Amino acid sequence: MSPSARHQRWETRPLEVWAKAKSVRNKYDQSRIKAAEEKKLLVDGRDVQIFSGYGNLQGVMTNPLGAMTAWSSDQLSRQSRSESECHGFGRDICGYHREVYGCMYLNKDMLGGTFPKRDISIPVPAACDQHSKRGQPMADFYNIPRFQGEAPVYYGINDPKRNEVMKKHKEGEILDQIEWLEKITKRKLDDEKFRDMMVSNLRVKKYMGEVCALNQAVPAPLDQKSFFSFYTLGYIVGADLSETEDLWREFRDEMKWRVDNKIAAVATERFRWTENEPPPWYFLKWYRYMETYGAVCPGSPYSLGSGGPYEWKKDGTYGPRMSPLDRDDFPLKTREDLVRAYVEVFALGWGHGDDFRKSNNLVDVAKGWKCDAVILPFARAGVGCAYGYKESYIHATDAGYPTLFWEYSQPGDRTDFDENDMLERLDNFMEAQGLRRLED
Amino acid sequence: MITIGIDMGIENVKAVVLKDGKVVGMALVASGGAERSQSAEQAWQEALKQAKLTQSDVDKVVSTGQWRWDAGFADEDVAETVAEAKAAHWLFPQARSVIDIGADKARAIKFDADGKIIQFYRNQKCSLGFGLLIESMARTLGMTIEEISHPGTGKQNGISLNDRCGPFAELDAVLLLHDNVPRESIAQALSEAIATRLNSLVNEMGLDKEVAVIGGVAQNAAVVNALSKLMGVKFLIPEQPQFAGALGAALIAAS
Repeated sequence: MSPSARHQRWETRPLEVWAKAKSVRNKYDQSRIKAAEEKKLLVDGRDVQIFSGYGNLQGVMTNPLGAMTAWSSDQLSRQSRSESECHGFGRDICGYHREVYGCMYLNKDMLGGTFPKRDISIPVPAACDQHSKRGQPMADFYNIPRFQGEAPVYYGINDPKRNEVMKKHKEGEILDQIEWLEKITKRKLDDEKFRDMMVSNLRVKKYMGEVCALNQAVPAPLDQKSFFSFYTLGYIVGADLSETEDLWREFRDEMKWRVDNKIAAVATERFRWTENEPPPWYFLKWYRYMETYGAVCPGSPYSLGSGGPYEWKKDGTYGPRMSPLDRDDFPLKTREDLVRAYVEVFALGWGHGDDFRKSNNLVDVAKGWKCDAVILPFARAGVGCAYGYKESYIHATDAGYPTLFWEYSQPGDRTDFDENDMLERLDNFMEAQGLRRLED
Repeated sequence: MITIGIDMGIENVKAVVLKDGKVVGMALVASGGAERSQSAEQAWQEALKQAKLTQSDVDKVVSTGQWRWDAGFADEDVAETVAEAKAAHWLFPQARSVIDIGADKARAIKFDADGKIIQFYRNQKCSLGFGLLIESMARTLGMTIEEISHPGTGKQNGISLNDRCGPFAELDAVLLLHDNVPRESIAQALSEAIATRLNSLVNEMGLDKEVAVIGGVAQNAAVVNALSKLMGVKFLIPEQPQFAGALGAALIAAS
C-alpha cells in the first residue's frame, strides 16, 4: 500500500464535467482564431453579453492569453517577453502583457498559427494599473479604435454610499460604451439579444456562486488547481453563453452530488489553506506538492471572486449575494436595467480593490471556506498583485491564521522564480503546523 | 536514550549527541559543497568520538538544515524552523520567540509556552547573506572574524551601508575604504546594516521581551549588540549558538 493510501480518508474521483468544459474552452479558442473568417470584428475586451448584441463582434481578452502562454509554453513565453522588451517594455511590466504584446509583435498565437488581429480595443479596467493600460499598445499597433473605461476604487472602510456612486458611474460608462460601439460598428445594439445574453450570463454567475459555495464543504469536492480550469469560463472567457450556462448548471449539480456523497478533490484532506492573487501559472504543480501533505486549497478571493460578490448571512454562513435575477429591485426589462444588473454583479465582485477590502475579504474567505491557514504570494513585479499584500498579511495574522508568504516575480513570468526557495518555505510552514508529508 | 541531531547548513555541518537529555558531544565540519554527505558523516563520527560512544549506541538520528536529505544515515529529517523552535524552547523555557541568524538565512519564530510554533518569518531573497556576508566583508576589509565581530564603541559614527543587498553593501564598503574611512567604522556600519535588516524582519512578528538568538552569527557581538539596541531587548543567547539547530534535531529524535 502506498504511504498516502494509508492516510486516505475520503473517496475521490475525477470531475465528470471535464469533457464539456474542454469543449467549451476549445470552441472559444477557435472562435477568436476564426473571427476574421466569419467576418466578425475581434474586440479585445470581456463584455461578451454586450458584444453579442451587435451580431458581428467576437470578444477576446488578453488576460487568459497571458496566463495561458506562461502555462503552456516556456519557450513561447520567454520569446514573447523578450520581444516585448525589445520593443521597449520594461521587465517590470506585467508578464501577461509582455507575453500577449510579444505574440502580437511576433505574429504568433499560442495555439499555433498567426496572432488574431484585433479590430477594436476595450480593455477591462481594474485597479491593477496593468489592466487599464493593456489595450493601448494594441490600439497603437493595429491603429484601431479604443474605448477606455475607468476603474473606480477607494481606500478604507466599505462605504455603501460611495459604492452606489461608483456603480452609477460604471452604469453610465457602459451605456456610453454601447453607444460608442454603435458608432464604430455602424450597427444598433439588438436589445432583445442583449437581454437574452445578459440574463443567461446572470444565470451563469448564479451557478458559479453555487459551485463556489459548495466548496465550503469538508472534504472540498474541488481543488484550486482544478478550479482554475473553470473559473474563466463565462466570466473572463467569453464563450458561447448558452453552452456555458449548461456547463455551469451541470457543474453545480455534480458539485452537489459530490458534497452529498463526500467525494473529495484530495483523498487525504486534513488541512485547508487560502491564498490570493493569480498563482504562478508556470508552476501550478505546487498545489499537487501541497497535496502530499494532505493539504488542499478550496479557493481564494481570486478564484472564488468569479462567483461573488459574497456576504455574511444571518445563519452565519458566507455565501453569494442574491442574484439580480431573484431580486424585486432589479427589473430586467430595459437596457438600463440590464446594465445596472451587470454592474451590481461584476463591479464589486472581486479584483484588486483597495487594501482594506482586499485583506478583509481574504479573512472572510478563510473563515467561510473553513481554512486553517493563509499562504500569500508576494509578486515582486505584479503591481496589482503586490498591492495590499502587507495589509493582508497583518489582517490574516491578527485574525489568528498561521500565515506564510513566498516570493515570485509575477504570475505570467517565471524569471526570478526560485522553486527551491518556495518549496523550502512550504516545508517549513507545513512542519510548523505539525504536518509531515504523507508521501515522498 | 542516545540521539544525534545533524544540522546540514550551507556553510557548516553541525552534530550534537544527546544522552538522556544532556549534551555529551558536539562537532562542526565545513559543509564542503558537493562533499556535504561526507562532511555529515565526518561530523557525526567526530561528535560520537567526543562523547566516547559508537554508532551502535545511538538510538536515533534526525537531520535538519537546508541539505538535510544529504545526511543519508539519518532516520528522519525535520524542517529547520521546527528544530530551532524546539532548541530555543528547551534552552530557555521562558522564551517565546527565537531569532536564528545563519550563514545565508535568518528566521524569526514565535512559539507558545508548550513550544508550539505560532508564526515564523524568513528573510526574502534579496538581502540574503548574514554570516556569509560578514565573512566576505572581513576579507574585503582585511580583518579577521574576531576583529569584525568586535562591538567597538557602539556609538553611531555617521557611516552607513546598504542594508537590503549584500553585494551593494560590499560596494559601499569598497567606496568608503577608498575614501580612507577607518575599517573599524565600516565594520560597525556593517553590523548596524545587518541589525537593521534583522529588525525589519523581526518587526513582522511583533516579538515580546523574552527573545532567544541562535545561529552562527549570534556569536558576533557587534551584530547582536546593534540588534539589541534597535529592538530594545536583551537577548537570551546559549553558549554555543551555532549548534542550536542540531540540538533541536537531537531533542526531536529523543521525543
